Amino acid sequence: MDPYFKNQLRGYNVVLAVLGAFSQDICQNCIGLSGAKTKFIKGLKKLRMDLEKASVPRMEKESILISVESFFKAAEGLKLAEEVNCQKTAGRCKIEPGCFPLGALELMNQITEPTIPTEKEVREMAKLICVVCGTEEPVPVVH
Amino acid sequence: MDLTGEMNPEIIAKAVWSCYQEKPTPLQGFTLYDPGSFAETGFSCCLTWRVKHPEEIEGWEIDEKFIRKIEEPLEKKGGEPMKGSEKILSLTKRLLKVTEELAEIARLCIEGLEIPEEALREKRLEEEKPKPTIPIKEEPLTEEELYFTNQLRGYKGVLAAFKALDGDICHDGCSFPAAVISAQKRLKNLKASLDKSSLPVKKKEKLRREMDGFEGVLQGLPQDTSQPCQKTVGNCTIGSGCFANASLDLLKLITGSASPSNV
Repeated sequence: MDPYFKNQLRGYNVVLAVLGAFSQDICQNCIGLSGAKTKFIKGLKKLRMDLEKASVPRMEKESILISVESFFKAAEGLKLAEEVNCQKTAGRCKIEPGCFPLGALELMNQITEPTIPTEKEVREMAKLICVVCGTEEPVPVVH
Repeated sequence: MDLTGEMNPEIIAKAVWSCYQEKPTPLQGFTLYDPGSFAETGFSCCLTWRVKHPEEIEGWEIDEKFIRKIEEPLEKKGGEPMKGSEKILSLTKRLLKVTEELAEIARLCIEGLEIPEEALREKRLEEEKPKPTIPIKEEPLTEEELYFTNQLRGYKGVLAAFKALDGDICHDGCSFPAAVISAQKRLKNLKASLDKSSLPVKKKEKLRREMDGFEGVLQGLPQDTSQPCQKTVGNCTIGSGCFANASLDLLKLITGSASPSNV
């Protein structure tokens, strides 16, 4: 399997398990878990987009897509209260200043290889500035 | 003017000085001065509600389509102004909806008035009956209780991660078993602290039961550290990071309640 997708799937598998555990906790009523869930789903969407563009054999693509879809389904099923608010503010979560669901998401940061094309993203941001203010902004160089 | 790589401090100082002069000052073929405040109309537009949840926007989502959506004037969202007959039709439909809703309210009022006095009394009595109070989960109050509760919350996450890693290539590596052993040691230490604590016996028992459960899960996970590192073998290609160690680090997120001094 392509190392990029293999690593991402490994990471998402762990993150999903941790989020699942915290959804049984007071985090169920927390905006932190809600945000982490949104980010998790968005990350999967990005992975699916990357997969569409990638030159990966069709069979492999399908197998990766099955995994991504199963993660989607599991993430959608994470238990979350209808109305969420920060449990620290509510006085129930006292681990401060950390946040378990967001900490779980950060497990994805363990993946540093294969490197992501950061320069391309910065170029996009620079382009955004140009479009909004109408001035020529130099493209920052990422080292 | 590009002074990148310029090492002469005098030139740098002159360039900076030239930039804030009111009169145009020549420097290395350029004319530098401070033009004062921007003479043309300022760049200004309303950004409120252009992006409803900016905190949820990821860098990769910002593309041409996204920018076009932001630039689109808010007024346009209401659609094109309606013409003659369209306007009348829309108003008639809305009036019809209001009429239907008013008729529904009137029907409810009539039903309410038609209910016999006795039935109304019974209903009132029912409403006045004290409702059973929902038991609120007892909040940990003491520093000691908080410490153990927080630790156990963290362990739940760590164990979930460990269970997921057990089905991964980490199962055959050395870092994962090392992390499991480390978690076991910490849990043992936590149990010893619980024994020494001044918590009520019932609370201690409850916490101990939970810890025993966690210990059981940890015992079922690999603990053979003599296995080869999966990075060295070439199976793990995530880079310098390690899922197992990072999972254990979830416990480091707990900083709110330090280990009680008497524990």
